[in-house]
Amino acid sequence: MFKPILRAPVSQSIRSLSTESTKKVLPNFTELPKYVLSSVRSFPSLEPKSIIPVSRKFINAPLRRDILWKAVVHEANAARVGSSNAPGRSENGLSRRKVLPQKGTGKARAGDANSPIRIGGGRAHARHAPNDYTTEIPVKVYSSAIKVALSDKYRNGRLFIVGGETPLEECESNVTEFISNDPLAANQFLLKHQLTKTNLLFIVNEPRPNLQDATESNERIDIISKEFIEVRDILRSQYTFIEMDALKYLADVYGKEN
Amino acid sequence: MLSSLKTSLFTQYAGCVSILQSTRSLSLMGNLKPSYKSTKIFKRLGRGPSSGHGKTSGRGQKGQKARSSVKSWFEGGQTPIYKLFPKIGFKPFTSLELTELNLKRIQKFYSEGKLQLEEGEVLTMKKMKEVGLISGNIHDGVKILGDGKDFFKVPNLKVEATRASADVIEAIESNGGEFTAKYYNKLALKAHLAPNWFLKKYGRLPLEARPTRRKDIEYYSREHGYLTKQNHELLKLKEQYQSDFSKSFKKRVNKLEEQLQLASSENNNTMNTSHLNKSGIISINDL
Repeated sequence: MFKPILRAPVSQSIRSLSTESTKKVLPNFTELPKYVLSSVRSFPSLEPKSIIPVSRKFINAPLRRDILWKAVVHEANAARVGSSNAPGRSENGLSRRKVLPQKGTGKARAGDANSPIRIGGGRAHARHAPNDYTTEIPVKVYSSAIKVALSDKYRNGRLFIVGGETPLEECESNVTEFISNDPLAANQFLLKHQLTKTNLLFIVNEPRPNLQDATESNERIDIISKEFIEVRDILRSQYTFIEMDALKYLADVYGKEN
Repeated sequence: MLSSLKTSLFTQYAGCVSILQSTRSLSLMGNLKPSYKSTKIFKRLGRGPSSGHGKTSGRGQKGQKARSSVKSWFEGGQTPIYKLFPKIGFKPFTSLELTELNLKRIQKFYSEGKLQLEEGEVLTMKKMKEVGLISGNIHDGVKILGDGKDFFKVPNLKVEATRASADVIEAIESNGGEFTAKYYNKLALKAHLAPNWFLKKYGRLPLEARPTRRKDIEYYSREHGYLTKQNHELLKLKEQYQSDFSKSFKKRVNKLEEQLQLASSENNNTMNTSHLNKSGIISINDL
């Protein structure tokens, strides 16, 4: 019985290999956009002023909990300060004399009284304060974690870019700064946007004295300069307000594609 | 003032629904975990029978391995392989451990835009490291090799390295570039690669050492050597030394000849007078 050949002969397929272009793309392939749009806002009204394109890989990277875990563990380790300062067997201060004769006592062999196995002996693996618990993390992984953390905030609509060339009004600003250092300014801002019981993070380009003074009594508000930003700070906050220049700085430091 | 601030700040936007309340999300901080099987907890040995690693701590019963460890190279008492055969070969301690860099890589970096030099800037070993042409440590220097010389088209490239093969120099020069071979000893190389380290520690950079071995002096005083290009003092010294050496060599021959002559003449003289002193006989001619 005749069986139809479903596959093209080998000679034909080989011939097509040499003639067709090697970059063959799947039929429904679509390239993801290189940029995502984000609004630039005024402060403290948070009115959108314009829209800017930001690299998708920087601000809309897919969520990777394992990378965030690595960065958070690294930061937590770096933040640890141990005070263990126990004496080792060489520093314990007791005599180095052999406590028992080697033979003939019927007891187990014993060296000096500083041995960690004896009561009053030194500590095995003694350390000296301040103890160092820092661990290392590849730079690329850490950069990636910053991107993932910012991206998560962006996707949930919790990242607010403050910037623009000119302020909307006199009382408005194109940086995260109040016009007064009175706590009332901060309170009004929180009330207006219903943020009274939320954790906020302000990533500032330069010191903002009014913002600092006005929010001093509020423990839920963190103001961190762009250089000292950590992944944990971003993750702890429910809403992140970042100045345009600070965002550019972070993109420059952590956003490079390797 | 505060009341005016209160009115001016927010009256305009009062009453609208806050944009911030539009979405809700869980905090990520409590839901982080490492990727599957990427971490493991270390075995706690000798912590009681219920741990599963108590009593013998996973070392089994009796013997050297139970009490201490056996060296990984121990071959059970048989004459080990490192004792069985005589040593052969040697390590050429004078040869340099040079990092190799091919023209292919320079070309690739140039066409990708990673190699950006200012006008007149020289591609030194420091620059190579900064740019990423070389990754890792540079031990004694860099030698540029000719892989990809046929496709090398970087215009007007000035390169300075320890050595380069002849066809590399040709390829660079045919594109309007220039190659200089420069001598660095260990200290000078470190000062070249990490000047900040010296400046931080000593507040100055060490002087560059000149080559001392004849082989090196000859290499760097060739056409592409830095001694020739800089018209270095060492070249003059070298020439002077060579001329002095040839002169002194001639003199020595002369001296020998002189001494021989002297000796012969002295012999003649003594021959005449010695017998005069010893014997008391005086001939008529001497008087």
